[in-house]
Amino acid sequence: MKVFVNNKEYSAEPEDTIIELCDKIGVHIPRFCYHKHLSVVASCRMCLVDIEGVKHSQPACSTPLREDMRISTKSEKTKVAQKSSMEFLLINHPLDCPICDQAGECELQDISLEHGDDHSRYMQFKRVVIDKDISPLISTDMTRCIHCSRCVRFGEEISNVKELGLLNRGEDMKIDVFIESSVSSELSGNMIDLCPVGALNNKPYRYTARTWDLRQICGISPHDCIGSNINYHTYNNKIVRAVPSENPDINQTWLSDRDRFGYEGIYSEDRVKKSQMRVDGKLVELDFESTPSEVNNLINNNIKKYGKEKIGCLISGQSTSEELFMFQKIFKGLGVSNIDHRTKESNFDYQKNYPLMPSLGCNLEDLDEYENIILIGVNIKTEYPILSIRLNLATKNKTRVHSFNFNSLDENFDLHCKKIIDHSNIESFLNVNNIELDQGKTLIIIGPSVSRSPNQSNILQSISKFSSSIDAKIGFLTESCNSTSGWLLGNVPHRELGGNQSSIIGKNSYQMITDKLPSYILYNLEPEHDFFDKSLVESALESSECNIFFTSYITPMIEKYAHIIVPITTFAEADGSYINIEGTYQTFRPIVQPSKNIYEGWSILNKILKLNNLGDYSVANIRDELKKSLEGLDFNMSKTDMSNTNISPYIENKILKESYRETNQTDLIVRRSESLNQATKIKNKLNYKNMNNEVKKSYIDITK
Amino acid sequence: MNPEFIINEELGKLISNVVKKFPSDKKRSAVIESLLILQHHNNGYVTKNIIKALSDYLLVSEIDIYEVATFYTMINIDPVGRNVISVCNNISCMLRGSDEILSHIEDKLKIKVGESTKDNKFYLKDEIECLAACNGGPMMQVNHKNYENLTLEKVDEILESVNDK
Repeated sequence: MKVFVNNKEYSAEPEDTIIELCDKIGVHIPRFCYHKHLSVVASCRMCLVDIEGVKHSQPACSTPLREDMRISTKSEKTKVAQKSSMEFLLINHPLDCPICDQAGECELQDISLEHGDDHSRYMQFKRVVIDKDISPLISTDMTRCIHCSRCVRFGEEISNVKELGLLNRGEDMKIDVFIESSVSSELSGNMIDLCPVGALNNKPYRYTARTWDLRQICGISPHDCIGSNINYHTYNNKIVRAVPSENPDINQTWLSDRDRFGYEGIYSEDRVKKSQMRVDGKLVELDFESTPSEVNNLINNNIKKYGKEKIGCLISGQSTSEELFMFQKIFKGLGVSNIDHRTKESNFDYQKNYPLMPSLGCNLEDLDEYENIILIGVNIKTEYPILSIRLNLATKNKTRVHSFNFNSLDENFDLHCKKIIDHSNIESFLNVNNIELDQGKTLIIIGPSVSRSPNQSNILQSISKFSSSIDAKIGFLTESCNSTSGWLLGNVPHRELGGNQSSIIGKNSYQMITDKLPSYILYNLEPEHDFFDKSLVESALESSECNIFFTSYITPMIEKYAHIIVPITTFAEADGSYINIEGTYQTFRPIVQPSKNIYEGWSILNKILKLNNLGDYSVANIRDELKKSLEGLDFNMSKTDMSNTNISPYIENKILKESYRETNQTDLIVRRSESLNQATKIKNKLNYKNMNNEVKKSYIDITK
Repeated sequence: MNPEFIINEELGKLISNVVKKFPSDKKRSAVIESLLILQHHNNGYVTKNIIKALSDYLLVSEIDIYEVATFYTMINIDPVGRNVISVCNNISCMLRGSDEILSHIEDKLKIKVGESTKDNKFYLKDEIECLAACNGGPMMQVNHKNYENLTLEKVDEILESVNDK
């Protein structure tokens, strides 16, 4: 189809609207209420354009294109229309830009500079709206609101949790929450980005810096395996806020609150600032230069003293691919085969037949192509909030989502069926007769509650059998953001770099802990929360003799049982990369500089590697090797056969712990984010308040 | 999940009759009429708990119902007097002297439009649109009953005749 914009000819898709075409060809049209991912309401009237043959200017966001349409975005008529719209919008908008956090990135400010008048004809009093405290993450200045309703539509259409609404009408219209309730969805922060003015703003960031003083550096979310792209804004070498970086394949323009506010954890009080070593039972500080050789001596002494098979090397799946690569390089190089990153799991019979790496089985944007999605052991709303947006759109399309989980948590999207399953009866449960499947493609997504299950192998086997009986694909959602790398880069006891079988099969994390080894090396792990069972870990550490902790945070258990503590950088302070669950390899630069006595994770490992004459790498070298080992991998493996696994019988009385994780407790950085903890507290309080008395009673009983 | 207000069988029947008028996936359309039913049951206004109960009943979010309740003046979210007076002030009635009638009532009851008397006997409703009795203007409704061709004396008589339950 042929259309003309400002007298230039363009070919256009017939289903597009004027604004969609203009965005594609780079002709700017001012807008407030229009957003490409939200429905069109045409309420702000800012995008009025002049169309030849049409008497009045028309809103570009809601006017479809037609053959030979002649649109003018710069004509006198358009200008008059834009100026008039602007005048109406500014009638009630306060002139408080100097104290508004939005100033500098405010759409109203920009557009009024470009299209508005330089003085106001309005002499009357302006409207004032009283503010309410609606969320610990979002600050409100509702007097600034221009009623574009983007935030309301976001709740209605994208997150599917409608919490904000347009109340009253006319002059009294305001955006507000329901009586005595608050905004508590896991995606609420997106309303901050959507708000074109300073009405909804980032509360923790409030009055911290002016937008034009910030530096923007792109990072990757370390909090879930989706790998959302984030733009971190820094001021004086400190991250002050995070906003989404658009990536249509992954997070689109959205970000979960966990990704948005999780960075606060790197400024926690319990960061380790200097290396420490135990001398005569007391931890003493160690200087920066001698740390690598001290650590190296200790490792080699331990290997000599206790033997290779008596050293337990555990690394967090949240570490960057570079760290994971170097970690296994050192210890496999030294002949230690007890390496694992699966610290939350306790059953490993499945590992031999496990695919090369966990993968979702399809790309994120293809999720809506499946007629059936079966979620097993995962609550998307709390564990992968960003994914709930995709699934919400998929369910609105045609997909039936079934959820089988060990607890009864709700989802934000429509479930076709929801059942609570038991660990022991899963095999009999997974049966075609139990599940109402639609004709077409099926995807089974296995979540972290399955990995944490004490009979994980059984469950995986049943699922594998079931999937081949209905010809479904299997996908995984992993515990940590970089578990995929953990598997691929050989941080498992039975495989080498690139996934080849090892000749010697080492101990897995469960055996390492229960066998009570004399020496543990823990990398980026918090013994209190990052293991399947805290008490088992504590007793293992207690009976051990010489432990090395590479850690960003000092915890009571680390302080008590460490022989040497090496401070390492978090995701924000070093070069790194993650492989997300669809197999996208994403690299990032350091966002802020670490304080001077903290080691970049990969570089301290490299120093140790060098001391052992096992090689010398730079970030670029590591990445080259990574790419080599990743070449030709099929991330969307069509079939996973785990049915031929030898499985020891399921022992009923194994204690099941932590089958559910709090959204904001998933990793060691998020656990230290103050705003998120505050939000969780308020949410729990509110939930409690809304419970009826019977539930309340049982709630108190549980907490006792 | 509601400790204070429960939609009983009788109300449930009335509301389900409303719901039946709309397609089964468009329950939101039944919000206005359901609110009116519940408001009538609750002395002329709805409360937070009523909205919550309706939200659970219709499976429509609370804020959606609250939006409707705050948009329309015919639904009150604050407590009001037991007897509702609505004086029409559209063009026909206004030309026939409705302003005078209204200010007379205001003086008599010592309240302004939109307020209730201290003893909660009367509520003088705000924003009344044409009540479709232009032939008898000025007119008013008291408890949904029309009184036409009003004079100040007639108004006094009508208000005094209101029997408070």
